[in-house]
Amino acid sequence: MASQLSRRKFLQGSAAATGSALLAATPLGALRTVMAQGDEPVRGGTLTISGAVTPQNMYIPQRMNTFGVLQQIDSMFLRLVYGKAWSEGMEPPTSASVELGVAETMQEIEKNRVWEFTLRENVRWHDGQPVTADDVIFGAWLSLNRRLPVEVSAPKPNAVLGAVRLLEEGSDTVGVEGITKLGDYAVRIELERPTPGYWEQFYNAIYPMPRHVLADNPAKAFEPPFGTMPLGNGAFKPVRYVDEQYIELEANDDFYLGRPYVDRLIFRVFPAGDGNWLALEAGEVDGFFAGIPDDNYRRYTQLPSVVGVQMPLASPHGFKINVSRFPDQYVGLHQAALYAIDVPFLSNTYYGGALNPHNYNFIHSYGLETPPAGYPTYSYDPDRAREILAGIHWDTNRVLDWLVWFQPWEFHEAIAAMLNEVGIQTNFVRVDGAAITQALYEDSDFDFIYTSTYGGSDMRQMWAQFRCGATTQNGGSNNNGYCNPELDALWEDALNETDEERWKEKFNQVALMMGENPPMATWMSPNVAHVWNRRVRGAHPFQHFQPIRPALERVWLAP
Amino acid sequence: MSKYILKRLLQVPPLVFGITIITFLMINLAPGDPISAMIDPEMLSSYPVYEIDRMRRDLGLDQPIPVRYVLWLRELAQGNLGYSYQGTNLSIARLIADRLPATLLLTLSALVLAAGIGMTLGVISALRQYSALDNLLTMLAFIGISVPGYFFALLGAYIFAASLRWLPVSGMWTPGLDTGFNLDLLRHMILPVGSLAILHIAGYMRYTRTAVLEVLGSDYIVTARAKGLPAHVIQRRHVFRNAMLPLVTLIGLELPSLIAGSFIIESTFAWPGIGSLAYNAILRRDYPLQMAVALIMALAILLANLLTDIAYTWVDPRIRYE
Repeated sequence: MASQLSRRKFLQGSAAATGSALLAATPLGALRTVMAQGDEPVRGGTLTISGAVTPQNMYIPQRMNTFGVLQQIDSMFLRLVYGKAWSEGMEPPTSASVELGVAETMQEIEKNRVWEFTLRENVRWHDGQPVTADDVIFGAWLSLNRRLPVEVSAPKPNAVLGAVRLLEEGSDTVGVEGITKLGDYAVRIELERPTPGYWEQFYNAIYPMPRHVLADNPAKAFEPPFGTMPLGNGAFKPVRYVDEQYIELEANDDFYLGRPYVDRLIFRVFPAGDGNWLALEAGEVDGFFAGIPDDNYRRYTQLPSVVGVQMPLASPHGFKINVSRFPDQYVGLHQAALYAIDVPFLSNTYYGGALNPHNYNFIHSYGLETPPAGYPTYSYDPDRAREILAGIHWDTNRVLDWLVWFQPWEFHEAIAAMLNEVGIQTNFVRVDGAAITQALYEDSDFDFIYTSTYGGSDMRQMWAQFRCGATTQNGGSNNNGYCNPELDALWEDALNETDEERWKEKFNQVALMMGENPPMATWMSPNVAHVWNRRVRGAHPFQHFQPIRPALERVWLAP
Repeated sequence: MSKYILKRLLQVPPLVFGITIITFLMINLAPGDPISAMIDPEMLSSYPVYEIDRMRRDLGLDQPIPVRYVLWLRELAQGNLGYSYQGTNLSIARLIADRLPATLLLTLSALVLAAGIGMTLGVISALRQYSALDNLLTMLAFIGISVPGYFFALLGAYIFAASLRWLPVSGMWTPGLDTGFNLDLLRHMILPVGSLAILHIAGYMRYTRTAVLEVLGSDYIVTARAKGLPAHVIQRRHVFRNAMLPLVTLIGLELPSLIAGSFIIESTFAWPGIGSLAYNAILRRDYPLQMAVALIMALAILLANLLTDIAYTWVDPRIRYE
């Protein structure tokens, strides 16, 4: 035990030095520092953003195959509306809200199910044509149409009336049953069933698409990159594409919020991760999405020319014990792990104090953000963790295989040390990213994982993670064999509830049941980060994973 | 000779057939699949899994491996290398054709550089055998052979690009300057070509040194010296020409390994060639693209071997194939 304790103390000591630097460099503090420069915006220049993903996958929103290209897409295409999942700062939202995009007004006709939108008449396509109701319908149809090669991870308004039929069968006739044209600049959108917080979810986004350009041959939109370039209605228009190298965009003079400050926007491709960082240091790029902050982030944000900006990720993270392997001990193991983790230490040391500690899976679900009374809470208490482990007769010599698909860094080492300290020994077992679905969801070949979970408002999708027998074979993603039939019955009943108050009450009951018999040890929602050259002013157009629009038109470059 | 070439050419189809079976099996039996590779594992639980299954069916991944192989072979027989899983309607033949010039530029430049520098240093090393310079070059050669290429690549990028800012970090051109073969391209070539060449310089140097020393010890060199020929004439007429013979083989056989080396170098420097295409295909489990690259590599190696054998008869008339 002495060596285990000293290991942790060592980690604490080694991390303390970097922790203080991190506090200065992360997230909102740095953002405010840069934003408070007070300089007058300057027009002109080229903003260069880099990424690891080749642009050829993101020509149109329907071809988006990873969130890594979200910023590129949203610089070219506006959504009908944007959900604002997060309020100011790091706190979870107290109420969901929607930021309007192409839509100028949004009126709820039937609670959580039917809305009418009027469109801005000054939003124009690259060729000067206005964005109309036909384009909204066409964009939604394009996203849902089974007969077109829509990427699996592209956003789709799945819950709109008639969406399922299009997803399963497709159609050659443009139209979605639940989207009705009310006029040239007005549409009515009807969901299959009431869904609280529907528009806050990124996956449900509708990107209007130019029907006048693509209607004759919709498949043209999916042809190799930029066959019909430029295309779009966003702040920038694509003008040049060099395969595997970069995509060049120019400021859209007709952008409805005004011409952007910078003249050119370039997205460069760096397939090897470290190339991004070297290019940032060399001044070749102005910024990029850095993922969950790691060693590189900590090192580079100490450079005077670099600023790191972190944003919360609406996805609870935690540990999962493979219930199938430890059917009698998993509850105790989950609880012990929650008491074993010193969340403030991890947050302050590795995330600049900006983690959002919680152990509640519905924290990002609209209407359920606050845990119900009586929901169990956990804080760092290693003695309590040891008591729980003793109570379940845990063999402290047992080493759990901790399946990882990333390079563990000090953060994971610290977690392992904390678990080790109470008697949960782990051993990293690394698998390739391309093999992770099989290992995690088909073979469930792990004892222990640190994982993210779906944390949005689609409670049916969330249920698929915890429902008895919900495997990838039958439309689920329950990979640790958790099964609580009582919980399932309650969850199903809650899903069928249409009255919002009763819906909330029922899901509070679900939450309490999950608190007693936790399917996983949820302990926080992390941050993800962007890094920027300090010459980037006006706004940090951070957007990865966030259902918000990057304010690229507000960015300007200091001379 | 023509009989020999015909015989060798007839060996190619069964060899390639065998290679494709083994490669197809290895690729398809590797853990993971293209669908998993397309999705960020951190966000996996956020995806509707029925769509994942649907996509797997759409790509034919629900079929048994032998069926998939036969389908692939049938398309190949019709000259169709297939379509990449990444993006839609991306013809692999087109992808490879687009990338080939960049890879050829990189590998041939590295080959010329490596052969030129390596052979020159090898000759110097041999002519000054056991001198301080010979020992230094030998030591450097061992370092060059022992250290992996990506280390030189990253070290070079860090020193010359990030720190000194003399050279670009990566890419083939600066955005906006991609107008063909220009000074900007040359600047972008220095680090990747240098990193790729450095591994092979050491090999050429050692081979050349050995070959020159062997020739220097032969009887006809002793005779030439006895005849009173000046040293530079002996070296030029007798030593270099004869020492170069085994190096012809080496150059021929180095070409495939240069292409293989470009997998990592191209990815490190975001060089848009076949190497980075193949590297990404492996990471993304892009089976058709992996197969196409493996097929082309196999053909390149077989062709390089054949050309080397033919070249050998040309430079050394004593060699005859029956």
